[in-house]
Amino acid sequence: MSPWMTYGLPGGLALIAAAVLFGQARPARLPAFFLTLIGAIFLLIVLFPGLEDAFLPNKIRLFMGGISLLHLFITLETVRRNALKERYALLWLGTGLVLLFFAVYPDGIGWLVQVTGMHYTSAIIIVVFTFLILIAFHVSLVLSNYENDRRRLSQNLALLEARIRDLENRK
Amino acid sequence: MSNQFSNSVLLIPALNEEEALGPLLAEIRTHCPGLKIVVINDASEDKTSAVARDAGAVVLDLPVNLGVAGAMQTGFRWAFEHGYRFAIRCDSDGQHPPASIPALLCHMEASGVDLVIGSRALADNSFENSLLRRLGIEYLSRFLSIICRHRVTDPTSGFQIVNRLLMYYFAHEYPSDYPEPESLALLRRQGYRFSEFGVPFRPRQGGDSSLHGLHSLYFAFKVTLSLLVDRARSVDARYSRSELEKKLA
Repeated sequence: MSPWMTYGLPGGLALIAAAVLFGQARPARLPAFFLTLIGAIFLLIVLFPGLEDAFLPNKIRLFMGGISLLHLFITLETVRRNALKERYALLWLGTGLVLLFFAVYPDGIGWLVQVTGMHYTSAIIIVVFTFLILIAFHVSLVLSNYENDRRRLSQNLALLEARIRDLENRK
Repeated sequence: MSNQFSNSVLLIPALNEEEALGPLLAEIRTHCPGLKIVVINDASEDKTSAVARDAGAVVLDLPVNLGVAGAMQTGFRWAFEHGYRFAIRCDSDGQHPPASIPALLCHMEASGVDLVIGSRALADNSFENSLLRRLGIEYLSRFLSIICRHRVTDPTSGFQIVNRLLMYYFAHEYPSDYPEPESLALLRRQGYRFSEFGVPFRPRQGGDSSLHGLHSLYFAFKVTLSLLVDRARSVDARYSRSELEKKLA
């Protein structure tokens, strides 16, 4: 028996229940919508077992698509809540969009598969890895910049404090 | 009161030196009466700041630890803003004898260079007893001499005097990793001149050098890398000697 038949029903119901429970407050509505969507897909598969066979060859694509949607959602949500600056979100958004693109059009990654002889999965991992490296590099650039700012600010503070002390002593 | 020291300032970067600083400042008062002293307290956790202030020094308290390069740059900024002609740099651990400051200043005035280095190697060749350390320092001084096209015998000496041009340059750009050797290489490329002057150093009052055995070879390697990276950068025309001479005239 397929695991979908065993876990699909309780899983889907649990997801929808959670969405209803936590989705009352306004800021949680969008996540609740996504939870309900995933729960509904679970239930659909349980109700129409034929769907699973239709999805089967594309499981990895579905999985990647889901991950990239979640990734895009989290990125946009953190930007919206002012937890992440837009300029740092760009690379993250780019990663999510590229993943989504390859999930929708797997042929796009075909040339990478052909050139390297890797599987679709490994090719996707390479794409993600490249972006992670780019993001890490971006972060070290930002960090160096902040270090310069920090040095200047601390120096200005020390110089100003000395000047205030000097002015006080002159009085 | 106008004397030999009235247009100079002594910059001392200090980190947790409450014990060595008091005697050092007293010694400076004896040998260099009237010399303005600025202690740059690099976010010490002890009473460094209070000790320096009680001794009558100007104290620049950094809120966070910036390392010796960031501390020195603060000092150079202060010295430039206050119009001093020469800024003398001296370590707080008592290695650099204040009694040599007058001679260093005389050499600075007489030679007319932009920077004078107090070199322990010129005064006393037996200052290092560890073979590996000697090797590292010897290699570094040769490499730096080639890069600077000028003989350097003590590439890591922090006992230096700089003029106003270099104060301005260093206040804006000061290498943060290995300031002593890197700044020498940089200033030569910008058209400045320096000169060494033999000074007998003393053993450190407190603490110990972090460079032991193989560490000194690794240090030499890292400094070499930094020097090569500096060379790969283009000369900053804003701070070239000719440019600053016009600007600060």
